[in-house]
Amino acid sequence: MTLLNVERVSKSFAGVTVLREVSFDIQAGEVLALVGENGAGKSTVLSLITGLLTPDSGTIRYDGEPVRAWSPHRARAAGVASVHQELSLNPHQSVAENVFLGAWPSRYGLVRQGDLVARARPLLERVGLDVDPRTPAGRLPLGAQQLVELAKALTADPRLLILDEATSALDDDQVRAVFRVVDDLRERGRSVVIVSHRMGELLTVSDRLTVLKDGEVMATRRRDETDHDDLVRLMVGRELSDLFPAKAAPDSPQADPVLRAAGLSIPGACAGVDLELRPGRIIGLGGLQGQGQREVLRALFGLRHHSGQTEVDGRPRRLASPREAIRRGIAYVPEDRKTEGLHVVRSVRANLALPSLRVLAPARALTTVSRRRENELVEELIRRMQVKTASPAQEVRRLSGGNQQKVALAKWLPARPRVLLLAEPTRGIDVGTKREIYHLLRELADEGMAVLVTSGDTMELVGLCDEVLVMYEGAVVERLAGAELTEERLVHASVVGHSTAEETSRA
Amino acid sequence: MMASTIRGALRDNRALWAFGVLALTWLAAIIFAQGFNSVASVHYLVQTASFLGIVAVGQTLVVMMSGIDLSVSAVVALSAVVCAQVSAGSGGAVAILTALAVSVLVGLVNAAGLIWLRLPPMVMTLATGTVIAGALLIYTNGSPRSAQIPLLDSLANGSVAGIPLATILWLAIAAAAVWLLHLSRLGRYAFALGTSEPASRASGVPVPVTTFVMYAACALLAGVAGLVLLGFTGTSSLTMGNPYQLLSIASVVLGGTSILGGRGHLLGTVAGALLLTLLTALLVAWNLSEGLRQVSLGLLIIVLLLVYARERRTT
Repeated sequence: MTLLNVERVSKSFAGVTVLREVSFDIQAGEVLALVGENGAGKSTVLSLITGLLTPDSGTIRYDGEPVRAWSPHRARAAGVASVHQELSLNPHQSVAENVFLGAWPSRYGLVRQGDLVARARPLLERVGLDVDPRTPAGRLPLGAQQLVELAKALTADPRLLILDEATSALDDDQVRAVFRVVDDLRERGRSVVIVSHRMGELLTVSDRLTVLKDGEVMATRRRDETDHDDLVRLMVGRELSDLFPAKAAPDSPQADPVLRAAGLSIPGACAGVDLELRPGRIIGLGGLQGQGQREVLRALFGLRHHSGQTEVDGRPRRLASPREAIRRGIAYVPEDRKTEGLHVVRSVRANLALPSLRVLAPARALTTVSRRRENELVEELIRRMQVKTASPAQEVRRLSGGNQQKVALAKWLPARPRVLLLAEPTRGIDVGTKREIYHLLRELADEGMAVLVTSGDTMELVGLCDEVLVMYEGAVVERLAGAELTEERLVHASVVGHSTAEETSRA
Repeated sequence: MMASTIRGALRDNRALWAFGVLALTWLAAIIFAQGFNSVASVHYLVQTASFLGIVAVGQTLVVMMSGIDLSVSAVVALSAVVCAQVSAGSGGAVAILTALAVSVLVGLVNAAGLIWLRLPPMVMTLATGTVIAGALLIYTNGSPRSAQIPLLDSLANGSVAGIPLATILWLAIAAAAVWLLHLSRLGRYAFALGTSEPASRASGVPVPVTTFVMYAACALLAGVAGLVLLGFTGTSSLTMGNPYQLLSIASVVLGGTSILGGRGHLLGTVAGALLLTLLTALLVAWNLSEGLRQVSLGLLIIVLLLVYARERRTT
């Protein structure tokens, strides 16, 4: 039985066509993946299904009936639930309260905490989340919060569940928990639409995959008829063999470290971390999610209080604030680009110029910002990074995720930082932009920059980095480089929490 | 296409709206009310508007970085009272400098509370305002003095080429503030802070310096307004600043600046202050009682906000 039927649907915004005669369908008890680069039209399709947007032409049938006056409210009432990459949890309310937000079970108008908690437990268990339902949601790591979102979507027992990049913040264990939920829904005749940039996941979990490119459906394939390369070819219209650039020659003479940390510790986050960042090298911080990788980066950029030694160019330097870190030539591209990395409601120009104002408005000009030099700088950066923006005056939030990330990175370049710290540099970004960013990072390293990257994507760490430090419960448990740097070794150390070498010596 | 471009430009330029509404209101006042068509009335309006206007320019600097200063009314009184008190013993020049120095000090204390005690601006500035009001009561024993300071008298009441000196001072201050907020490095930092503090910190924006300068400038301008008022009335009082507290914020918002910060233009505030002064004068001209006047002014502010200065819903 067909649950949802999208027939020749088109949509345009301000004269720009974003969907052209898109057709696909979802059967009851089926998992359908929507695949495509950023800007291919996936979000628009999902917004049409959830009632946030109405199509310009074409029809959407739900349960056999053409939908009329479709709205988010009606869609929800008809059994459509969705989980997005962007979190909608209220950080100050408990997990249980968030799960039932808007539909708190009550008796005589009173919400009973105990009742709420008891009802939340089985839902949390179902999504594989072992937390106290009374914990404030904001205290949980990002991945766990995402699972709370999923539990929230499951409260209404949806007939159609939409997972929009809902796994991008999750580690492998958590992803498996999500897939168990998906399998369970499928068995009970429910349907799931899943959007993800992690192709491997989609090939595991979905029954069929619909590929979108530039607002058109390129193909819909059964899972057993396709593979990774086939999908990428459909998505980008070309082979993508050189995703990762060549690495630094392993036996090349190593320069002295620019930034060195010894015994870096943050209570409750990491302990005794030693690392050395050298010009020309890209170092990765791997491990399961939330093992302290993020905190190490934040400490090095002066955003977290920490103890331990930090040296820049061999001299002890305190990195107590971002301004001090920036003065020492350290730049940081945070994982949370929408709150920390960018001023999303400001223009591309304002964002790109902000860290360079000291140059654009020197003291001898009475700190007046030179418009001319600002425009030159901004245009140069947009050209160099190939940021796709209507104009430099465009608000950053109107850009696609990949272009936002380019801006968050580009704004540091004029200051010529010597150390670049990046957290999850390609999360939620399409494969074409990923490739651009990998090549740019290598280019910067070759020019003499030292790069430190955290990532939950094993393939990315192995493909991009010269050396990967694996973190487990706040400590570095393994250092992999050269031929030892393989996905197997990396995953093993991440999960087991000690190095493979130790294990063989013990055996 | 054309229409939507114009609409977009209007939406993004609420300061322009403020000038448009001001022009319309003025036109309406000339047509429908008595006594708004003379040069003298214009002269009087821009003169009275400059007291509020000077305070509001300062308020804009603070609101733009997503702050607020609720101590301006106290600082207006502080500066006038201190000046009157000191001038009795040490002469006009010393008195003026002392008053301005004390005002700046209040701004610095405000900023220090925000940065080092991490208090929300609303709480910190309200508290300093309260402290000042109490301290003034003690300092003057409840009876502040009058003072005739020639410099202040001519500044408040004099004219050059038919334009009141107070207005010229206001426009000069506004021009300096336009430079500070829209052309200088510090202004960029203020806008950045107003849109997102975490992102600003992570981009190396010097938060303390920006906060100190903007709050000190705001308090300084409240102090200047207090001095001009002292010259205007020849006497100081403990409550002389009260009307300027909320009207200065209303001027900022009616001028199209977002109360949440990070969006707007300083010149809008100039229009906002003129608009509010004009509305007050209109209500007076219609012979409404004091109570009715306040009720109508409040309602008018709401209506105007609905017309063009509503906060955007963020998605």
